[in-house]
Amino acid sequence: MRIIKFLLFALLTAGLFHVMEFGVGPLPALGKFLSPFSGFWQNAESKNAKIPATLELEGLLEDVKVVFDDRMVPHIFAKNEHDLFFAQGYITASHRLWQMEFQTHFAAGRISEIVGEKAIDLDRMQRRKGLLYAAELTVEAFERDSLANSILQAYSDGVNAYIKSLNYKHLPLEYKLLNYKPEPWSKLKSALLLKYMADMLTGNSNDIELSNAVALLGYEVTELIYPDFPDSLIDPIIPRDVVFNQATAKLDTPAVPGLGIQIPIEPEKISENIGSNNWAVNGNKTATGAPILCNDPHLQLNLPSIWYEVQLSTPQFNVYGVSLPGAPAVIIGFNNEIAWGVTNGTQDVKDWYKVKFKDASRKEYLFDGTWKQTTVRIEEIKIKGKKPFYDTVVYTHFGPVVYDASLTKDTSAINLAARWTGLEPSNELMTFYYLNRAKNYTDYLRAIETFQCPGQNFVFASASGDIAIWQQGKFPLKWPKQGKYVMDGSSSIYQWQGYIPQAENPHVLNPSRNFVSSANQHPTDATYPYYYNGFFEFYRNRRINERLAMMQKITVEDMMKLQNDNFNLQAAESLPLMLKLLGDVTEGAEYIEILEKWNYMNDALAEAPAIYEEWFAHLDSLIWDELHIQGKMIEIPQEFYTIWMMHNYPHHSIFDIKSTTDNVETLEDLIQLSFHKTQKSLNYWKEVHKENLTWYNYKSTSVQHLARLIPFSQTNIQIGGNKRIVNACDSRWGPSWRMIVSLEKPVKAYGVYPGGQSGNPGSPYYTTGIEKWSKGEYFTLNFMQHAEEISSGMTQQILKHK
Amino acid sequence: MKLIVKIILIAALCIAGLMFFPWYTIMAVPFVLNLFIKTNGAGAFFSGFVPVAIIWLIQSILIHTSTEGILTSKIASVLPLGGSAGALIVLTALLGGISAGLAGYTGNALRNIIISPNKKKKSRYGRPDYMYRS
Repeated sequence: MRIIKFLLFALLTAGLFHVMEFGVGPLPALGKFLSPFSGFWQNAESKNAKIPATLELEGLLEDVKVVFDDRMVPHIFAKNEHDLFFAQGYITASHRLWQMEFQTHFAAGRISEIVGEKAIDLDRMQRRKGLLYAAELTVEAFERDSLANSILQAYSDGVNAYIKSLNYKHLPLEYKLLNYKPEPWSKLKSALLLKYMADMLTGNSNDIELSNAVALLGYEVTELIYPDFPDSLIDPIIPRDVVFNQATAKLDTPAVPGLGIQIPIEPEKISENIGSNNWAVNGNKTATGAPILCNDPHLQLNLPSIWYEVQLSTPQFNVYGVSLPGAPAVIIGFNNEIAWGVTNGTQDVKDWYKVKFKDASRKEYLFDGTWKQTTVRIEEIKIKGKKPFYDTVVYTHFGPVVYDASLTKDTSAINLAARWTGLEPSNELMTFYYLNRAKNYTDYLRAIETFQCPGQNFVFASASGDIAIWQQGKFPLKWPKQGKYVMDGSSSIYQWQGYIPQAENPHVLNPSRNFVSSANQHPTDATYPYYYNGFFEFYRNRRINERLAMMQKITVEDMMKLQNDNFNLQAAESLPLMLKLLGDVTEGAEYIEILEKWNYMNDALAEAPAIYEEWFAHLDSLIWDELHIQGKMIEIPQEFYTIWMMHNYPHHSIFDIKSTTDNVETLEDLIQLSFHKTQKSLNYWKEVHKENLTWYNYKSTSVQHLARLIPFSQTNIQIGGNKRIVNACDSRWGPSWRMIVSLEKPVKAYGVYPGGQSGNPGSPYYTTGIEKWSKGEYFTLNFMQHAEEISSGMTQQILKHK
Repeated sequence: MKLIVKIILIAALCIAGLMFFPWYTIMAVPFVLNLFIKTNGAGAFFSGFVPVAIIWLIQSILIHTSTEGILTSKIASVLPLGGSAGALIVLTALLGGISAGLAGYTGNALRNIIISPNKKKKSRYGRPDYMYRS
């Protein structure tokens, strides 16, 4: 009896221990997690916590001084570069370790290891896109360059010094919640981060969707609604008065541009709000006579933020800006002599090829009449609580076969291989290393010329008075329409024949208009001697250029206003037509009244933007009914082209609703029908939400935790703007770092981002900037000249070498 | 009286142990002490439950207040507790207490097997067993 009793309770106790130590199902390991001595409670930080005055770190060569300011921005003063990057790694990890590892696990296709089999499809796609493969090539490229290698090694050693100092009690919160541990950092992880960015910015192209569009609509209509180059309508990055030289590179052109075939695949969608603004004005246009440079990259709004603010200083250079947690150096920033910023260069650098295998073994594929060998990578995808999944990825000379029967589970599937500049060995990191210490235009040019992917518009300004912009990247030479559609992989005429020579990339130095700018639009007008296609933006750039052209005696405050400008140019170019064709309405007249009074500003508290956006969405969906029936296989044309069709082809057959066979609708019918739907859905919205139909309530912007944990996120933020507006904040994407640098002596700089320096949801520094960011306000950036320049609210810490 | 001594002893050892060892110190300590110091079943359970529940309660309240609850309600929303900081503090105390209590009870049950009933009638000090029942 006694023995049975003991066994029973021993079992119960052991069972409880097991659940509390290892977790069960979706629950964290509750004993570990809830212990107030080592669990999540220990991640709650007090506002009054003191930063230790010294820390001893094995691996440093000399002492490093770090000043933390009142927003927890580290200002790192090292005596040598090894220690600088070691300290950057250590300190960044101490604030952002979980994010650093999670992002690189995401890039490497390793999320199933953490969350189980629900992430297999995601992981398979990452492996098939070749991100891990590309990161491995990148590490080899780093290792061939001894300087790059030593910087990355020092950074990696710094991160690892932090990881080694951790026990369970000090682990970042998310490790406790998801019950796993960080692994050692490596150069491969830094490379994965760079590939993660390259994939986010250039890893999607709409070739497959456009081939599907041709299969459905024919070439003529497809080219009408997805044009490449509406030259008379664009405002390119390089001003029209810049004269381009003749192309030095030549290439052969085939008779047919690509395949108009149906490919039953719904490719990954890129957010159309990925993009950025940057500009610089020279001293002729500013109140102080010094150039001003501005940049705001638009990325997904996440917590922890994609950016980490930092100042890096050695006796040789001193730079301030934002870094990517996981990579050394400052990515966007300034020093005492120059400032630089980036926007995405959205040229298409990923093309798709239909591959014909000899047989099911996929060992050979047809190319120019002969059978060419493939290579194979077996990708092992580990799964939490399960046996690993093995995916065989076949590589052709184009690149990996991303889509095949094994992925789509359709035996008749077309095999599609991707050629992407992101899969070529490169060393983008050194561009930033050299920009950090650049002193003039020549240094800037030397820094950026090796940058390959993702292609970026590097804006530049110097205290000596120069302003410039280069669209820098490795861009394939293309014959007209090459890579717009899926191409035949069995003929060499369709493969890339080279790259645009770097010196002929679009650029301008000190243009006559006294400013340079970019906002993801076409880089050049039609006189540029090379063909390119891509996904280009039409509204932000025209608004920015119009404002900059008008502005004189510009102050920093004027620039703040411009970065937060809510003017909805798309509405200004479409709403008058919509209202005119609508005529009188019986229902919803109150909405029309608001629209008629609207100044086209998408301000947070205005109602009109909500009405307009709802109406345009209904209209757009009615216009493109013929595309929606194909699911996500076809991309809907950009709003700019839709509005262009509305103005120029109001009787085109695309306006007919295909499901109504007895009736041919025109644009006018669609406008009336869509307004009817709009007033009904807006009334319904008000009923459901029980709040005012203000733009911010309707849009509901949130900054979300990377693991999509809503309690660690901020939701329904009061901010205006939208995609295609200078203040490009939609519900999930927006300005991820706003920076303004006035290159006076001394340099004055302002910045803000929707997040905080600490990645810990239990830290008072987790969401520091969100409120100011949403109001369009900025922090003054403390660009210190030496480590003793300490003002109130700052704390100095000495990292002592052992 | 002996129960109170045991509770104080377990409390002291748990606090010291938690500074250096993982959370399951709160299971190990009551288990071991109940193996060596005799109590009845209920006493064994409460000798673990009471000190650990109190320690975890106080420590979580201290952290909650000193950090202005910066994390408590967030975690109480991640766990299905409706965002209630109070519920999370109570859950922390209860789970800690129950783990410690069960471990203590199991320690006592093991003691009952190891030490034969005959031996059990007399304590080491020669007094009859009932004298310790209070």
